[in-house]
Amino acid sequence: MAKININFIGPLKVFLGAQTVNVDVNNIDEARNYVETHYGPTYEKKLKSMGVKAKQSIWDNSVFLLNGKNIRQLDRPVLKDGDKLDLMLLVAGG
Amino acid sequence: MNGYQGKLLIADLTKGMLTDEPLNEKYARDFIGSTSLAARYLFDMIDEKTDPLGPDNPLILMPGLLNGTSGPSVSRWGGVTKSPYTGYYGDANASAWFGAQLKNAGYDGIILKGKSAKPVYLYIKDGIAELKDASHLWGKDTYKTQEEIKKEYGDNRIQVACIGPASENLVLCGNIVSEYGHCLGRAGLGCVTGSKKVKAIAVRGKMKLPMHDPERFREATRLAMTEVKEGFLSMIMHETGTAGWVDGAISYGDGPTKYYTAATLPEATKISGATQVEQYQTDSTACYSCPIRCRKILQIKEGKYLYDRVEGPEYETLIAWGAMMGLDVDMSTAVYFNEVCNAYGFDTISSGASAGYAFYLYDLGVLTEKDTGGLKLTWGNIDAAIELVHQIGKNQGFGAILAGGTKRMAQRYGRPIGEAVQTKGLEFPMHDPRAFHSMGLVYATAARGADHNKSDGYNIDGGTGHPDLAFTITDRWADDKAEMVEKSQNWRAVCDSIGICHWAIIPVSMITDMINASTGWNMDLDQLLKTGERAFQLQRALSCKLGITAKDDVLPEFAMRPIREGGTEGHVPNMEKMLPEYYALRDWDSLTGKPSKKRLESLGMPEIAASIGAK
Repeated sequence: MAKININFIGPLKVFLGAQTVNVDVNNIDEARNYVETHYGPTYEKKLKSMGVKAKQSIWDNSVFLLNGKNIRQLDRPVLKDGDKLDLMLLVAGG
Repeated sequence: MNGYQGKLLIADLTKGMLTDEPLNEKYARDFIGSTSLAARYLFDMIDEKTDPLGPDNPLILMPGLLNGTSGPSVSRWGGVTKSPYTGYYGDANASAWFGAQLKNAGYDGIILKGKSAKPVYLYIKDGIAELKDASHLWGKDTYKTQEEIKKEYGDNRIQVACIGPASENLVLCGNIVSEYGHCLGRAGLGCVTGSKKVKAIAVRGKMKLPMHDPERFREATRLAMTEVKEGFLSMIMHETGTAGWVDGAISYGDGPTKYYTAATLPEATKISGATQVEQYQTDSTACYSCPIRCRKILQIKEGKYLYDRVEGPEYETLIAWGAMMGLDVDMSTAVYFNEVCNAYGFDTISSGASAGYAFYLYDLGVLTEKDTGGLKLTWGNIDAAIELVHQIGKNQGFGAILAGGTKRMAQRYGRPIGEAVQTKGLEFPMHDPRAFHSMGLVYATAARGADHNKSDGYNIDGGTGHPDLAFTITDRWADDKAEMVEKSQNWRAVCDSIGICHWAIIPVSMITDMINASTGWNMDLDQLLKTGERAFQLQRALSCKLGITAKDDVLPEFAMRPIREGGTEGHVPNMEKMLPEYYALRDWDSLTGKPSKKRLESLGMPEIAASIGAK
């Protein structure tokens, strides 16, 4: 079990009303479950209120940095205490 | 001619004569609109000898095909000229409302030729154009100019595209500003306008646009509008705007900091789109016919500069006049930089990069206070940066040197040309190719020089490419980007031609429905992409006509130095692999850089092939 910080960056921070959460997880799949279970409903409600009809997953629409390093959706990094997982939505500025 | 008003306005400023000219139907069919169509006209009008600030260099402004219609997010319009900043092909795109009003005023474009002896502005209403005296406007900033013209006619719905003092003073990166701060920002189109003594172009109209099938068009736009309204990307952009990427740029190392020598400044988060929403935003506003409303209205109640209601800066300006010089700015100062640059009317990207280069040279000891007129350009010196903004806008003092850009600065101070972070003379926008390798290819190959609007490789690598285009998405540091960049450049050329905003993700079938119902054509995705390629290759051929060769498609050495710290993690794009692959896809000659005769002919441009001596 690793104690990690999950950071919601940029628009996600605004959508979820949270910047950082500390969680105990065994692996990246548990981190995903935690995010979707605890923040999925808030996310869905927010998007619905803005007119988005199709259901959206936070995780599937995010890109990730683990301790500042790029990781991809399918990567399975081993998590350890103090790790910092940044989630950002897939969007860039003009 | 359905979908078009069928005529261009030709303004001969030397003679003070305005004439209408029928739109060339073949050109329109081949290039659709905006910068693509305008570039086709420009091709026949300039060559290597044309003086960018002389009377023979035209400035051509054109709306996108769907500007002024009920389509969603169809606000983008553009302009082309021979750039006084780079000496090569120059174009620029903008959103807001000018393009729609121009089309509704009865024109598919304006060609400004010659030079006026005294300041003038052009007023167009419902198909009638007049040249008016602008002596009373000369010297005024872009905000006051727009307000005064609207006041003169008592009509707040007039749209004004104008220049500010920067372009009057022939600042080479001077831009054209409309809807207060929405600019044809790059390549010095404003400077050309200033050289012609044209202060502004004001447009207003309610002229009916001939439609091939109005009922089908209404239905197509209704469906497309719903798609944009309910779109996921739309809502993200609505929430935090382009400034929303500031936080992403910090994480990814995408925002150039201390002139490309450091990891993206983390303090920039205090001016990010998310912070704007949480602390400063009071409202949002939209461009023509756009449900996204990504433009933020802010209220700044704290800091040195207070604003009751002001439009928030976009991502590019926030980094260029911030992290680029190592400036830890608050929101008040970030807004001030944006407002002052827009009021003077010059390109925030090139000017910010040039100022960043000056800070770097000062840090090295190459420049001293003797060179800078007493300014201490130490990283993070906000007061010095503010002074530079004013000097650039007035084309005075040390700022006049910065106004010419990094390439001229490197030459002036005897520095290696690879220190100037530009291609073809135009500085990189604020997406660092070390963060997204695709952008290296985009900057190296765009016709006007480094141009993030010719492909959104950074978005596609992040997963937000258009789903119907089936882009191959690979790691942001992979070097297999040639195919994706080529396709996305072609698609962007299509979007620009039509006038659709890059943030509106509309199924291609709906886009073709709107085009076909409007014009009576029978376009499909393949034909659209071919049209996009035709436009891209035409602009390339024009660059070659003006002297560009393969050796100009290189990235400067300075932007290829790895930065170990921060989000780029020491990566640099492998241009030696990517560029030849890209050249092969484009069928460009490896020495001359020219598109092949065969490729140009296959795109229906034998005359262009002959003109540049393509083999």
